[in-house]
Amino acid sequence: MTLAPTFIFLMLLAIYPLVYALTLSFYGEGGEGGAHIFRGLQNYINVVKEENFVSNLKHSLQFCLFVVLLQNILGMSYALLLNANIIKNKYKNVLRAIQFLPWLLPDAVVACIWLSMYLPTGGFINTVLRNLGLYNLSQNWLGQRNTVLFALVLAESWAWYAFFSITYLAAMQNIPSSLYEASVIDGANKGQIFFYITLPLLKPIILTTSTVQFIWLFRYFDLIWIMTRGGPAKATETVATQIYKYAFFNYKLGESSALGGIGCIVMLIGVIIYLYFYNKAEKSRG
Amino acid sequence: MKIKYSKGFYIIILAVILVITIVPLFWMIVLSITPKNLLFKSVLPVVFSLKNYISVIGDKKVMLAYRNSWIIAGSVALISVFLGSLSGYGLSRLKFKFKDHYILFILITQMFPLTLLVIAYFKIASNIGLYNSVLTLALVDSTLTLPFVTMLMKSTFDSISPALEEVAMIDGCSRMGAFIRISLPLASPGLVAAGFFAFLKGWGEYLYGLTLTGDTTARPITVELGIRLGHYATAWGEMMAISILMSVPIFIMFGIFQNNFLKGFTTGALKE
Repeated sequence: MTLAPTFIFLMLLAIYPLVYALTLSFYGEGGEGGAHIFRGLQNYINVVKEENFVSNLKHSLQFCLFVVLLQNILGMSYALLLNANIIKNKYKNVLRAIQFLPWLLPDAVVACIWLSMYLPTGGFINTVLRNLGLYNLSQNWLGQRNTVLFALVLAESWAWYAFFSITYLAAMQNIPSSLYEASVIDGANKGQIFFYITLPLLKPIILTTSTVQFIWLFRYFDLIWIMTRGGPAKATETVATQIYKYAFFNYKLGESSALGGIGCIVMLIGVIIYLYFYNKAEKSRG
Repeated sequence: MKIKYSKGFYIIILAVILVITIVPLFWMIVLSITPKNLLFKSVLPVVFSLKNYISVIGDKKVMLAYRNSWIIAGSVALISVFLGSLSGYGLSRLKFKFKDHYILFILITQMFPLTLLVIAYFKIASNIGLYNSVLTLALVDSTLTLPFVTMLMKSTFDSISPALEEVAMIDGCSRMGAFIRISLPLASPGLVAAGFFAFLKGWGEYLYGLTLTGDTTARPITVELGIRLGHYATAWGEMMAISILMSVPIFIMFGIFQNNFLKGFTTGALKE
């Protein structure tokens, strides 16, 4: 049984801790001498009643949505460029490798780089804007509510668009060239070829890749935490950072795991959507 | 005429994406070679100084954390490749009833909120005395890589004909012998890709390192850098030097394993 070790490993180190944490979500301090007592759904009620609950959920979903959108745009453009015949093959290999450099970096390094890019004085972006004479465009990117979320989205998309690009490129190369030849004979231009052939054929992989990425981003913590700690004024507080704060700042393990339980439900919805797209893609593949 | 226009259009978009990709990396290098008193005078390098690197290498905390990261990432790679090639082989070769369920099971383990799991890890590790240990980090980090590594190894073994093993088994090899002598060597490109992927994840992991370590006994370099970003947010040159120390090994490995990795990665990603 070669399958057993991995199964046991994941049962012990992923499933058991999950069950353990979810059990905590029904308990809380409040018994005599601070003993743990069963509180039913009280932790869940507390968490949902918390005034920031809806806005935290909104920030999480906004972050996921914008990152997935931007990564799709960057990844699709780059894949199209690499798939086009205008670049010589030896350059293509270099271009294919370059996009992976940000992807290879640890999140802590990505955060370090972008924190310094966004610095209000001396940061790369503001310095360039000022040198171009665009003084009123330069601002405290991470310090104000209306720019901070998008600043994080840009940093995260920068780090991960290669994942989309390489997936789409591989899918494009699987499209039979006879389809393109036929459409050229029919007089289609490049835009038409993209929108009527490439895009519809890539639709299954776009949907599955985007959903997977959405789920991963929903549980994402590192970059947001290092760059903003959920601030300023909770403008980038997400479900993930709030779970962490409940547990390690407020020492409310019950509330923390209850919010985690709610996070699980959101992710479960994501997984169901993913499986739906995945099965549809499998069917269309035959 | 039309073709020329679209070629120019392509090249502009390509240039924009390349600039977005490269500029932040360039900025990291510029800051790392600029001494503190000259920082942020220009977006281009003004001097070339190794001062930041020297001070970082002389910093005991940084070096301990750096060592921990090597141990953790190396262990994650070994654990993931060992377990993942076994399970990937099983999924590829064996026929059994619950195969789809098994795959679904390992994929589902990738869908839990990490900050929720970390509460349990923290409590369990504290209870059994494994808080602040590189072993704990190596084990919990491996849960992040094992599912992908399993799928990657499955598709690798799928591409190797079982007939080769059957021949070896006719010649008197056991199933395990055939696996070790025939399939494993043929699967080495996939093994390399899987090992590199797992190393990369272990190398970059932050959240578990943040919550399951208390000091430099086990703290990985990602967490050390994160702490400095909070505390000494002016020493940008040194922080970029640390970032470079964290980037160079993986860039070198990527340079060596690139082809294997990209091939494994796309087959794995497409089938996932």
